[in-house]
Amino acid sequence: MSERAVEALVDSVPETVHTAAPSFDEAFTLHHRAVFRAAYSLVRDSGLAEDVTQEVFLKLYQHLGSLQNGEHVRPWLLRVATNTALNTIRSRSRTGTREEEFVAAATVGSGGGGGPVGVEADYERRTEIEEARRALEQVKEPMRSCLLLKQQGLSYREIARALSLNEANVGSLIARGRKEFKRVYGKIGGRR
Amino acid sequence: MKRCLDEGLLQAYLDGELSHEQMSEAAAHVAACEACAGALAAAEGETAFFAAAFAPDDAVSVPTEALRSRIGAAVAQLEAGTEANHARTRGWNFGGFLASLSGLLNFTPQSAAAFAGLLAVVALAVIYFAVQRQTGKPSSFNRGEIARAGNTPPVAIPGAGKQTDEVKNANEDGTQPPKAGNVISVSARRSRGIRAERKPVTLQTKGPEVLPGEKEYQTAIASLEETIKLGGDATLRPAVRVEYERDLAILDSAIRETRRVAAQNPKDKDVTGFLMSAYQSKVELLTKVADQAQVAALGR
Repeated sequence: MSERAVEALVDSVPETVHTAAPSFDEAFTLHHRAVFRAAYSLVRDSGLAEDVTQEVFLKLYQHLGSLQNGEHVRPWLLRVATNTALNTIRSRSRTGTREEEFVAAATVGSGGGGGPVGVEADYERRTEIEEARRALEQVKEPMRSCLLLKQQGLSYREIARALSLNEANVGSLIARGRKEFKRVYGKIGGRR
Repeated sequence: MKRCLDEGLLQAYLDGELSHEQMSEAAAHVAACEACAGALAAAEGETAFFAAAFAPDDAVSVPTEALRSRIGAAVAQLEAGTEANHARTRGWNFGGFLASLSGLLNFTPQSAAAFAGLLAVVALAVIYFAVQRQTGKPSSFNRGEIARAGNTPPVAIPGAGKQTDEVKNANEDGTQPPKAGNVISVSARRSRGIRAERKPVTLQTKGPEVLPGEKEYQTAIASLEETIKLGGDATLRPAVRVEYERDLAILDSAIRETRRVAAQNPKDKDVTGFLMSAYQSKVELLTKVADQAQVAALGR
């Protein structure tokens, strides 16, 4: 490429472009792992976690203009990721396919090497996760989001920012959410 | 700290969210207060229990490239959907929107060079792949499919590329070579029975059969091309335009080659994968130029 062409390209890039907010591409590079893992921790399925991640980044694409501060992007993404993942779980449990899939996955997944013991252990683990998710659904907002965002490694300040809360209340909300979760889980699963 | 810790403070202590001073006060209190020590132990247990159920699983691998390409395609599709509105309501908050995306879309010399390199690799891979397929499988299967798509006389499968393009070009011009038309209707009748009777009529203007997922790319590409047209010649300086047109030609030939192979092996996921990635590259190239076009349009 000639020098002139290079100048032409540089000239045509607007000056106002690079502010504190990251570009979409940068945001993807920096945060897609956290978003995918946050989604996966809830949906427990790679394909679904990919769907959730895509939805989250499409929302980011549409809202990037309103996220002026680069620091706000990660908490925002994780909040949208956990909400989207919960919605995904909800809509799937409505269709009633989930349990069947778990059974099928447990049977097929560990059929090769694990033998009957592996199948049982896997099934039990999936049942536990299933019960934990159902318990989580009954924890009220904003306690549930506080719990989940804490779980994703956000600081109290980031959680407060993502959920528009007073930072001083985040600790209490996490504590209450956790107790509520344990109470409901005890009822559902009868474990612990 | 004399008073007992409330649940919020206890949690903040557990999460390491207190200031240094508060931290040491809380630690001193917990050491002295049995009730608070008990509450802290319970909170720790519950936290661990919750974490076990919803921990981000570090063992699960993150499909970065798959995500990048599918999100890129989804964004392109989204753009395609909104392009029409943009054209109607010009100037709609587009400045800030573009600014926020500029990192992705900057047509810088470095990215252009990198892109050209990438294109060359993709095109080579695609063509190599296409040739491999061609020689490996003298595909007699699916001839009906191809004929039905109106592209290729069924007898000419080996080395059909040239003819395919000729026929296709002729179709695009709106003229139907009578010879090809005859072959199509004969073979279609033979292989498809009654349903095929109506086919030759509609096929004369219709292009090749659209593969799943291809339509989205085509829509996105059409919309991007529209945007680029709106920008006019001022979008790119002549030297850059030459680069762009060369890259576009490479991509188009890659798409054409893979498409041809994909039409013969519609169930081969590798081929369709190649085709989609060629489309993806084209969408990316067009997006960059379309961005420049929009910047140029805004500057007027």
